Amino acid sequence: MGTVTTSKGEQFRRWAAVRQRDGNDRCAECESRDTSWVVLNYGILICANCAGSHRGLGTHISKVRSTDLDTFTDDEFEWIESLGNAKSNGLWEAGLPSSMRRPAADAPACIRRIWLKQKYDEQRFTAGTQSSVPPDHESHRGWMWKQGGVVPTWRKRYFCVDHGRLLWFTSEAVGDSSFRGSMPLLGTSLHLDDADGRTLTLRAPAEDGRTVSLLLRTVDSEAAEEWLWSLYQSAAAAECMSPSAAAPPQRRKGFLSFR
Amino acid sequence: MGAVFSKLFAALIGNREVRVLILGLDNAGKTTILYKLQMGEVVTTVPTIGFNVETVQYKNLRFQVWDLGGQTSIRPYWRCYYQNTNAVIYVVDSADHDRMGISKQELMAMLEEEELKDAALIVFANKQDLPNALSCEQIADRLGLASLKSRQWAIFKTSAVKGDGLFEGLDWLCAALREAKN
Repeated sequence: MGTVTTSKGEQFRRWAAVRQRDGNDRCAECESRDTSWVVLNYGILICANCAGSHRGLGTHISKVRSTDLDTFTDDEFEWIESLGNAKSNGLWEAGLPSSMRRPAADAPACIRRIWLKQKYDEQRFTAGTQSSVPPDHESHRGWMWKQGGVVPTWRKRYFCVDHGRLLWFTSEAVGDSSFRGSMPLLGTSLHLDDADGRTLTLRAPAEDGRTVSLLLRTVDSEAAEEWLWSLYQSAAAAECMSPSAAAPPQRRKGFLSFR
Repeated sequence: MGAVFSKLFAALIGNREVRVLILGLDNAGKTTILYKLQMGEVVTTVPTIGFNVETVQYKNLRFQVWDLGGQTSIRPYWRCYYQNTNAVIYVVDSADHDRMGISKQELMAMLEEEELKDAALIVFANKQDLPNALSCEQIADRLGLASLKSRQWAIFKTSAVKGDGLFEGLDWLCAALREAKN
C-alpha cells in the first residue's frame, strides 16, 4: 500500500489529467461519456452502468471504485496512469473479431453482462484466442420455444439469425414450406428474464405505432445468453448497413440504437 | 388510558414500524438484498449514490429498510441515519478477502456510536454463491464478532441473487425484537 492521496482537490486534478489520456474520455466498455468509475485491476475508466455490471462479476474478476467517492493510493494512481482504456483494451480485445461490436452506451444490462463475462471472465478476446473468426452471429441457428400469438402455448421452432432478421421454421430443413415467420432486429429491444435466465422478450415497434412482442424460451441460461448476443450483434451490423445510418439514429428510450 | 391501550394493542398485534439500516462496504450487495426482500426479485443495480428506502412487510411487522451507499466518502454520512434505528444489517462480500480488514474497521466504528447502542446487529455473509467465499465462522473471526459485549447479534450466510438466508435473518430479527420488548 502506498500513501493515500488525501486532498480532494488534488485527487480531482489527478483524475482530470488521467481523463486526458488515450481513450480515457469515454467508457472502456460502451463508450459512454461518463468515466466516473474505475476498474482497479484492469486500469480502466468506465461509466456507472458498466460499473454496475462489472461489480456483478465479483471482486475476484473486477475491483470497481468511484473516482469521486473513493480514495486512491499513489500506487493505484500510477497503475491506472500507466494503463488506461486504450492500452488495456489493446490487451483484452486483441483477438476481438472485427465483426463484433461492443455494447452501445444505451445497451440493456443483460448485453453488458454477457460482454463483460466473455471479455474478462472467459477471456475470449485476448491475443491468440481467436484468429479469423467469421461473423458467427449471422450463422446462429437452433431450436427454441416460441409463445403463440393467438393461443399462448409454447411451440418448438427452428430459429435462424440472418442479417438483421430473426426467422423461424417448423424444421431444420429451412425453406418456404417450413417458414413460419420473421422479425426485424433493428430497433428491437431485448430483455432477459432474470428469474429463470432463459426466457427472452423481443419487442419491436410496428408500422401502425403499436409494438410487436416475441416471447422465446431456450433450453438453459447459457443458450439464452448466446442467442441474446447473436441477436444484438446482428442488429448492430444491420444498423451500420442501413441506408439511414448516415442520419442521426432515432433515440428511443429502452430500445437499442447504435453508433 | 387510551395511550396504554393502544400500546398494548400494538404490542399484541405487532404493527409498529421497525427501522432497519443496511450498511457495509461498496459492492457488498446491499441494494440487491433490499430489493430481494421487498419485491422478491433480483434487480439490475448501479452503484448507490445516496440511499434507497423501502417498506418491507414480514410476519406482522413493518420494516422501514434504509440501504445507504457504501463508497468510501459516503460512509461518514451513515451516522446521519442512526437515530431510532432498531437493527443494522451489516453486509459483507464473503469473497472479497482483501477488504475484510476495512469492513471490520467500519463495523467497529459504527457499533461504538451511542445512538446505536440498543440496535440489534445482523451480519450477512453475502455472495456465498461465489467459489472463493469465506464461511460464516471465518467471517465472524475476521470481523472480531466474538468481542462484542452487550449486543444482540447473529451472522447468516446469504446469497442475495439466489435469495438464500435473507429471511432467516429477518426471522431472527423478529425474535430478537420481541425479546427486547419483554
